[in-house]
Amino acid sequence: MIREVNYNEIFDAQVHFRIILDCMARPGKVNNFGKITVHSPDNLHPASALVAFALLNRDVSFYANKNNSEIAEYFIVNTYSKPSAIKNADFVFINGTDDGKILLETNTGLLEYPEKSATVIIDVDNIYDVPKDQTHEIILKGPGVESEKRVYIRNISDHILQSVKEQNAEYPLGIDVILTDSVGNVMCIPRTNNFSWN
Amino acid sequence: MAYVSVKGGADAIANAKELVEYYRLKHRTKPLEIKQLQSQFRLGIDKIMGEGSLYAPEYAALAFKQMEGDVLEAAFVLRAFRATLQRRYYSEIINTRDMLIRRKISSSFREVPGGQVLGPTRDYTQRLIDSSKYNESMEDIDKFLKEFDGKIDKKKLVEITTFNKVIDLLRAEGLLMPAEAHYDKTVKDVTLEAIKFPAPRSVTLQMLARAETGGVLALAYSSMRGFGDGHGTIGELRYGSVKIHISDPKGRKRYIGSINVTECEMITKINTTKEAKIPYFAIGYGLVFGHNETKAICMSILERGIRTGKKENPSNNQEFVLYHTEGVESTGFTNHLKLPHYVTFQSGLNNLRESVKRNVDANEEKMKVYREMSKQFQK
Amino acid sequence: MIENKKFNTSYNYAFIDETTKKEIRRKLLKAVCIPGYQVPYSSPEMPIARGWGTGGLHVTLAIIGKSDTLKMIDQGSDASVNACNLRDFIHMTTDCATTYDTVEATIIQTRHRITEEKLTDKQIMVFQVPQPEPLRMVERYEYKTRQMHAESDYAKMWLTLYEAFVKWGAVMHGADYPVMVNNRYIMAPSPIPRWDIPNLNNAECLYLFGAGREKRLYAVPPHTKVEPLEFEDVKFHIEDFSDVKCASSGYNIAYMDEMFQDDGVSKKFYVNDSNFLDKLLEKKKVIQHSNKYLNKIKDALQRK
Repeated sequence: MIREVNYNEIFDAQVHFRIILDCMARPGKVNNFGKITVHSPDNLHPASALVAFALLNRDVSFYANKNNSEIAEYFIVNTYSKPSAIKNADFVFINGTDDGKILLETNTGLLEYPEKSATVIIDVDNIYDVPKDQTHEIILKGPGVESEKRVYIRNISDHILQSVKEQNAEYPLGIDVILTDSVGNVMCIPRTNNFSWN
Repeated sequence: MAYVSVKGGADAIANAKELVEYYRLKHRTKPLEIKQLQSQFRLGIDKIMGEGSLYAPEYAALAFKQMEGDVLEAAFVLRAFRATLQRRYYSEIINTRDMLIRRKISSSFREVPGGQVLGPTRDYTQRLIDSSKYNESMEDIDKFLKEFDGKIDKKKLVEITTFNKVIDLLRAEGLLMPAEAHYDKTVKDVTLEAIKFPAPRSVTLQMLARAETGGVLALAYSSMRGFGDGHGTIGELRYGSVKIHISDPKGRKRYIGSINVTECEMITKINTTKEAKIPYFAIGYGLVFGHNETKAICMSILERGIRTGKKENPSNNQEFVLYHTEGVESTGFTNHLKLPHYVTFQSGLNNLRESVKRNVDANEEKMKVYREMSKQFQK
Repeated sequence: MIENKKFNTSYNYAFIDETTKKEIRRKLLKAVCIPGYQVPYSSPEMPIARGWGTGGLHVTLAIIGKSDTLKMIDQGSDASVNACNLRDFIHMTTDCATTYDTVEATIIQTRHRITEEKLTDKQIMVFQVPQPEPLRMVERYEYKTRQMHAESDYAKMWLTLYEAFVKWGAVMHGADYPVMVNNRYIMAPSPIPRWDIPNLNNAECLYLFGAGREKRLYAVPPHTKVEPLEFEDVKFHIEDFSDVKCASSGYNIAYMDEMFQDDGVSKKFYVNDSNFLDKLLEKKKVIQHSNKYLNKIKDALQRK
């Protein structure tokens, strides 16, 4: 259990939020959080910890899949957010290699209040914007993308991508995805995005 | 248009700010002390705290002084100040049955448990302007206080804090309407989220408690005059102080101080429907900070109307009542008409001109004929 | 002097407390994910009156940081009194850099205009919105309009527009013309003139909207379809100033302010966007928006 003392709740949160906002407004754009001074537990990328610190507090809940008691304590101590079952969680933290079917239990919101839905943070090994081997090529189209954008993700399962598409089949209901990798890269896929992959 | 086209916006504001301060000070009268305002403008301060939604008499007095006596502007300052403060605790529910009573009346019964306590009120005095207040001196004040003190027999002072409420008597007899079947008991905090309608009762009570007195008054009056469900009877109106407790991290109850509140329980008859066999009494409830009887009474009328009143009447419509009695928002929006709207206006002008032109073109043929005809008459 | 100290309060960076900033930030992210949909938010009170820009302020203060440069305009002008007041407030609580130059700004808070100069992907435009609900004119009740958006049931709106056309020969909206965003939500673009509407479509920059009094946030991401509502045979058109010229610069392919002269009869026109006008007068390079409606006007002018 570590209480992060080097994290600045005012200025770090603001800078990181702007990075996430830029990514969500421009799906496929890969940004980097820069110098990271937090020590997240095993199975949680430091970049995902920064996403949590920027967005979580007492008023929202989270669900962490792997190593969940250590991660839960980390989030509780640093953000005062509460752990909850996946179907009620506002923020869901999973790994790119997890079984995609857990995503089918996430909250996709209500037609009158589609924003009352989960944001899913997926830890993958690498996010590239140029072709690399052993990656999935994801082709993104939709609001925020000028015609189309391609990204290359290492270690994300077909099943997860399929589950995201299933959860987002009935717009405006859906979930919004943030991908982070081991070197501080971040990229987003909002529910409006019509993506395909190889 | 001078203040826009001649790029002097920032200067104009700085000068305006100084000018309005000049208006407050130009007669070089004695500076008002905050204690004076708190003490001698008690009812104004109470109103500011009620509409500002913050129980802080000194700050309310400061805002009152700053805003040159404009109660709603002072309430606005208090609200904005409140928004900057950290919310640390929610208090325990206050128990008005334990109120230190200063004033307690009932219109429904001639005698009530503990007796009617008239208390500090100007209700039964004449509103005659009192010229003796013009030259009030410290000596006058001391004289009054000494005489008043002389009339109090200290041996007869007994602290009576607890009276049974009138509604408890009615409830014991089985005359009060049982709570509605679909009564939403969710407790929301209106300062932390946008309210969606229909909203639970907790929202109605919170928003009315911080509503603008005049707005609440107008709508409750309309309700009494036939645009609502008519005339109730005051079961009980109380003014006094109540203790505030919070739970500390270990769960122990701690007393942190007392506040003054005015509480009104209004007894009304509900509409009898075909299903209802008994025309029960129902209660409307009002509770406000400080001493503000008008607002507590009106709040209780509107609160009941919103719950079970006939929906055609605007004063029974939750969305209508709560949105439009919110003083800070309504003042802001109505006054925003003072902001420049010339771009918006220009756009509308454009549209209207095109419309007129279309009309003229269409009538051009007719106009030709009329012109020819009128020429004939001119010959 | 203990009493004086009691009333001295120091405020958090950007005035709003961190808990509220986080709530606004979470809601802004969801708004970006559901373009054109109005997200309810807490909208705390500010020292600025409701109806005078608190929503825009909430958004700007929640997103602004040390490296931002702020531009503040009201009806196209940086020097307008209300723009000055809001700029002062933000500067006082953040110590941020401020500018009148559209190109230098990273955050532009605006009341009722989009800049004539094209915005880039490094810029965010924050709109102050008086009435976020475009359906309010056809339906008074919030719970009903929310249902209409949920079910994409916009029949009442189309009917009202059609009726206006039948009565007056045109869809009568001046400013705040309703638009359809991403083929799904009808949105109120705030009372910007029709001239500005086409610049919401497929933009490079991010557009964020804040309605403080009504407590709603919404967004239009870059490269998003934003179409003014129109009929097959009754099309949307922008205002046309080709008959007049700016009395200062001679330019006429920009939105104009009409000013009656002191004789009470004659009129002069001036380019409304004050920074754009300054640049024209200083003969500085400007990159204006381009869209099909503007291009049509430019072509027509060239043919004259």
